[in-house]
Amino acid sequence: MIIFKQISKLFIIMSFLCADTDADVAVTGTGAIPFCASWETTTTAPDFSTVNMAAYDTDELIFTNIIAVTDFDANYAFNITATKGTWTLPTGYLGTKQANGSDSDFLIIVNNITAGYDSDGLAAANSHSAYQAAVTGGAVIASGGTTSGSGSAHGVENASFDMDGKLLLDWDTDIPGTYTLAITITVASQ
Amino acid sequence: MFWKNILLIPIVFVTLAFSRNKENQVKVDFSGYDRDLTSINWNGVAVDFSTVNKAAFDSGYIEIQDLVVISELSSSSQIKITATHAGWSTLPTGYSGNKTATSGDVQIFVDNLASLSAYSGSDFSSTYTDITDSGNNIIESSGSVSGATGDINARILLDWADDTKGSYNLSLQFTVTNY
Repeated sequence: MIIFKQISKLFIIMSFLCADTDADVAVTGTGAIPFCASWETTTTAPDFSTVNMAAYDTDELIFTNIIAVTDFDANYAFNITATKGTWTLPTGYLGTKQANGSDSDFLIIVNNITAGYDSDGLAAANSHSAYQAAVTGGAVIASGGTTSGSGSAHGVENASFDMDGKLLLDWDTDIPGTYTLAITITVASQ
Repeated sequence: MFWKNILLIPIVFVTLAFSRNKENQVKVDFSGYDRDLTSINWNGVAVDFSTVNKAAFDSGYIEIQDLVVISELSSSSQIKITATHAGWSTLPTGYSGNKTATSGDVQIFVDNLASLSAYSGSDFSSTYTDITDSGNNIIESSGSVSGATGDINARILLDWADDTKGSYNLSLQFTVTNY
């Protein structure tokens, strides 16, 4: 027993003798990465001055790529919401378009989608792969990614899509004059 | 018995002879290995992941210049500095990217080296290079040094699709050892 104690002491002494070096440095990284989303867009404002007889005859005029999202990235599941503004209408207008935007005369569709992820990428939501009336309260037109609850959370990268608009027209009530309307899209985390 | 006594006599004689010659002397022999001594003054900064933003994701990383600054290193022998990825101890629920409990998504680059150099054969002074949980030698001296300095920089890689929002916790270890 004594021999072992002596040997232990010897090893301890030797270890002190072998080197003498200052302490290591430990670096830590902590914190919560926030929801981040990025997009590059081009817009083409619908020009109501292009309305013509053919448009009245077909009861509609389509405006393509009113918003083109050419590069969309998000680091978590997301919703893209489109919100219609209010109408500016000609004096004496009596048609279905409502100044407060509560009408269904402007419709939107999401198409030309690049998902940006193998599965659960960006996709049209709430039937916006077909024309749906834009609403002032906002409607989710596209979504993607998956949430933590799915067991495999992810976002998307290099996704893209276009949003087209359709203006409904009526020979009787859509009289000449100035019409304006705004559509806004926003992105938020699920 | 007789032969034992015969042999003992000269041994005792010689011992006594030497004792008599050195009875007024004390001789102490010092011997041993001159141990490696290293003094290093270095400090690291904490990484705050809440600063991650769109630009960081677009770049593919956050870069932390001067993650560790070696303000003074002196050593009586050749040294090397090792960077070890100690793993991601916290990741968001459902995380499925490259970051793991042991490694992933950390790169190191060293610069402003004085009396030090990137570890022989490594790329740590030319480009940001991955480190692992088994440890990577990143810096070395060519021999003993005095007042050496240098900076250690880091990139935390980011991926839009995989690095979801939520809490992250990373540990890195930097060690100096003698050859």
